[in-house]
Amino acid sequence: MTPLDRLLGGGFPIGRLSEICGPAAASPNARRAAVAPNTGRTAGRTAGRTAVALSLVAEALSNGALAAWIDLADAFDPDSALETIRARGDEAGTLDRLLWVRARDEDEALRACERVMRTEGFALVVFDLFRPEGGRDPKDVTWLRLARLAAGTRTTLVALSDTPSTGARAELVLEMRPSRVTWSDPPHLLESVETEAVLRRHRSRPTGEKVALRAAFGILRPGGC
Amino acid sequence: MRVGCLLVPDLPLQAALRAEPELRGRPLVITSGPGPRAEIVAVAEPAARQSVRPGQTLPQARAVCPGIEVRVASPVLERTAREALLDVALSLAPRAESAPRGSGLFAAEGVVFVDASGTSALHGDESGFASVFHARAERAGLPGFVAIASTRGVSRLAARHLALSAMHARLDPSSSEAPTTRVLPREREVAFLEPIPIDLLDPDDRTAEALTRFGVRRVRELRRLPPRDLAARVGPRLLELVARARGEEEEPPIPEPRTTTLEEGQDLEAPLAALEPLTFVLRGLVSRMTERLALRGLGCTELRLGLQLENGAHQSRRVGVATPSQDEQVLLRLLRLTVERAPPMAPIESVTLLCEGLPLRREQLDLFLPRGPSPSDLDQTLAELASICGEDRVGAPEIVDTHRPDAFGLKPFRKPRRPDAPKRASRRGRRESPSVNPAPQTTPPRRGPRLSMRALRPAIRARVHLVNGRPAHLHCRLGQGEIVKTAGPWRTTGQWWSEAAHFAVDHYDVELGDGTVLRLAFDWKTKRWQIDGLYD
Repeated sequence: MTPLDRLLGGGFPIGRLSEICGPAAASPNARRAAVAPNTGRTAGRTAGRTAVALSLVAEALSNGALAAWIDLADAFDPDSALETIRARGDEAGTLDRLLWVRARDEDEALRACERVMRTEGFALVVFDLFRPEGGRDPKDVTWLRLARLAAGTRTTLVALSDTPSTGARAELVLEMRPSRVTWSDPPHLLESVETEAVLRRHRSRPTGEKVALRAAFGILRPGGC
Repeated sequence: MRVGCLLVPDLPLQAALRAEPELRGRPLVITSGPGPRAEIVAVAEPAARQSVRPGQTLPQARAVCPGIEVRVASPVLERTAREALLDVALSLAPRAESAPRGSGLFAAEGVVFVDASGTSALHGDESGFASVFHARAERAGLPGFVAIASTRGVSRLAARHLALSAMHARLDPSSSEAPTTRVLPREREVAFLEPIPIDLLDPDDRTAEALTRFGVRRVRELRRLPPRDLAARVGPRLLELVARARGEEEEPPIPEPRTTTLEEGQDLEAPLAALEPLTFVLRGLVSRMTERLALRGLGCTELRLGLQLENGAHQSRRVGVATPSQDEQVLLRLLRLTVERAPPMAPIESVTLLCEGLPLRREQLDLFLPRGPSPSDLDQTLAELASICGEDRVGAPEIVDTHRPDAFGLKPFRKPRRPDAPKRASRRGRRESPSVNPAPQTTPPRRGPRLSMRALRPAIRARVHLVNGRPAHLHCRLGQGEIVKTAGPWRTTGQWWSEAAHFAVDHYDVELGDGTVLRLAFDWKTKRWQIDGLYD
């Protein structure tokens, strides 16, 4: 993800809280309304944030490090993770270095995230809060606590959320905006999703800069017997 | 061959003191059972000084020493103390064995033999070996007497003699302190054996009575008598006794124990209903267990906690340890979390702890790979995460060998011992900054992010309007709208041989008006539409 690395000035910061989110929406109702057609909005949920987060995980695992995925939405898809890892030329066994925690509610997810952050040795922790149906975002004090936990460690903490929620607590906020879905010629097959990564917050880089990303479809089609 | 013998004279007493070290220095007595009629089987020195003796009943003992502490003899404590003695011996030599229980006066003895041949290179001489043996036993909470001789029988007799001398010295304030170790060179064994009373040879009642009738009281007198004629009158058991008295026993070599399962346990004085006092008991068990692990050079890989409940039920818990560990705090924390996760249903009467040991391995660090968490930290983290979210919700993702659309697997997370070697970086790759955690090594050519699926668990029910047999309009909890693009269907079926497990699903990739791409599924079994994934 060289263009993204350039945008971020070297990647996601170590020992800091970062956030990957979708476009901001005024309210959950507005988000829900955005699904409806003919609203003139481009607030679709397919924005490529999970693809970016999985690429980060794949890179950390590829370097021999351990990573953790704190899954509040219970939405982690091992097949997608494996596909991302294989796309880098790594073996399936690399996935064994990923700790997947399937939390049942916000409280469990936060406690699990804090516990993993207190364990020295995880290079990357993804705190996945993105629930398509919406949900309560953690309070500001929670983000403050997580940011303090991350400080002084060698762990990159990345929050994955629907809309920006970390406020001023994150060192880096990357907003993913859906741009275009590409389909192949008939027979129509999903080819890729083009998105825009906009730097919303960064301590040392100018905000508002953007870069175009293209997430190619790579999941194998199911084929049963 | 040279044999070392470690003898603990009052094993029930020492086992109780090992479990409750705070009782040391107190007038403690061990009784054969609960209740006032129980007989005292072992007496600690402070109580013995006040004329409390084995064989008395509890009221008799309280009459002469009102402040005595009473504990009931615990078979589990005694058994684990015997095992701990064996661990002490195994910490010095690979060949060691526990002696069978004695009888009569020596029923309370705990004895272990160890092959003491060729130990001078490590300990200087045999007396050095005996001192180390004694010191390790004392550190393990089982102070005893050590003797080294040519056979097991003679070394045991020498150790018994030391114990007897020490007992007399304790009861007689004018005598000097008795030694706790003795080394008997082969040429001095006969001289040592001759003045020893016959009773120390532990003869059975019939033989002892016959020898007393003949006026044979010491080994010297027994050695002078013709053994065959004596055996004809007293019985064949006498031949064994004579051989022991002459130091001529023929014994097989000391075997090498192979088990690496250690056990600790405790019968509780009163049933425990709360977890806090149970933690206190567990702390003692784990502390004793880790001492034994250290003696054997093993690390714990699995703990099995057994709880005997007041209502007669028995509960057991298994605690896996990711990497062999001797860390008392780690093991205790794992046990505590396991008990807290599923507290016992009734008060606890006794606790047993089994530990599977494995030889400790040193962690091999890699020059080029991140180190990762320490094994003990990782164990604690995994145990706490399992406690927070549930054991079946924490682990490493697993690709399961099935076509079932909603299938996924989670396997226990283990820190890989030897990670795959990182790929060699290209010059171009080294110049570029990586996305996360810049590391010395880089990755193969980047191909950009892959479009990923977010699973919806459980799948969201949907209403779909079809036009020409294809989805055209969607209505679900996520919202409603026209479907602008559709790809599919991709049919997945399987396990047709099972009514319950059979699945048949048609999948579609659909794009809504706002650019959201969903995975829509039609379940042929339930004839329902649902959304089971979101592309992101």
